[in-house]
Amino acid sequence: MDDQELKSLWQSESPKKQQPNLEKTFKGKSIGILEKLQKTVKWEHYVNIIMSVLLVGFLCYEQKWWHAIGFSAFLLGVILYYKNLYDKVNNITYTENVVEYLTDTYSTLKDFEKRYIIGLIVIFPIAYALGFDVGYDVGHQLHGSEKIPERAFFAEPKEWMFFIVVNLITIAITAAITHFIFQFFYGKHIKKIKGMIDTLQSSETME
Amino acid sequence: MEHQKKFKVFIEEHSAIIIKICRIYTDDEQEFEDYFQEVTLQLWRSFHSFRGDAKISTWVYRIALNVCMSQIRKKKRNVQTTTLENVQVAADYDAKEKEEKVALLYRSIKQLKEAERALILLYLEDKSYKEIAEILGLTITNVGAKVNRIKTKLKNIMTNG
Repeated sequence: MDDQELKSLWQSESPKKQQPNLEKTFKGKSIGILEKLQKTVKWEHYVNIIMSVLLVGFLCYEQKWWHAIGFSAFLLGVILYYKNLYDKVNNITYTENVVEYLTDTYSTLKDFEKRYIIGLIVIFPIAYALGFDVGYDVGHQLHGSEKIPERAFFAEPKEWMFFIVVNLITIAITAAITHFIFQFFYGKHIKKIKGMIDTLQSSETME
Repeated sequence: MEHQKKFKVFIEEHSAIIIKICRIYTDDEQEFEDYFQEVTLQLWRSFHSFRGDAKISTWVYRIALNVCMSQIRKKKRNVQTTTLENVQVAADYDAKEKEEKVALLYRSIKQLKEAERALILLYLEDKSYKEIAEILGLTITNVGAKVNRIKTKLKNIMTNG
């Protein structure tokens, strides 16, 4: 079959006019990957904001001003990071050319994976340390300085080691579980998109 | 309301190509319906922002291909071969034979890689290399080389199965 026959065959096929469910269209419910990513980031962003306000509110209520300032700075960083991710997902549009669109989608999916790693390696130890510090102070207030002497914990290298080991074990276990879950939901898809980008971008020469 | 009416006419005009694109990326009727609906939705969402700085067909192809190529596919159900239920075959031709040939063409295209399907579809739609390059974001030279290779691959599949 020559090229022209192939084209004629393709073009001779005229699908019946088909109307999509325009009511559904105008209501705008999408099942696309971008929508899923946007929803996930949006919800996580809102949860972060609500939890941050509650946490800082609690610390202010307990009159732990330094903790409140520390947490506020830390949580502001987290919120800004999410805002940035949210903007990035929202900036991808289906009207981009295919390579550009696939590259943006791929990079966003990788960012999603990266944010879990950042969460684990950076955010978790800081949150853990600050949380521990607050807990220590609360314990100190509740049980008095005889049972829990002020800041004695942090003077002990053994306790520091314990603190670090707990962090590392938690990060390792959570990272493995997160990686598994992420790969389960998106792994195959990321691989597929990467494969498409490689196929399109590989340079070929005329034979 | 006026905008919605315009969009309805627009969809009627372009439904054939949207159907063809959705069909080469789907395996069954339900999946096809989902993709078709999603492409329409994304066209609608971008409809008001289309300023005409690109050809309207370029814009339609981009959105439809981006939606279909990036969609997360559900686990394969009972995969059907292409039945072409929606195809109207020209009356002045041996309908059955032609239908079989078209079905073979679809089956063969589906054996290509997903990215290759986009290239061959645009080629079969008689788009110029320049327009294919604009839709896909490739250089014209690269489009030419790829189309030649994929054409040969497609013909081999059609001949040898």
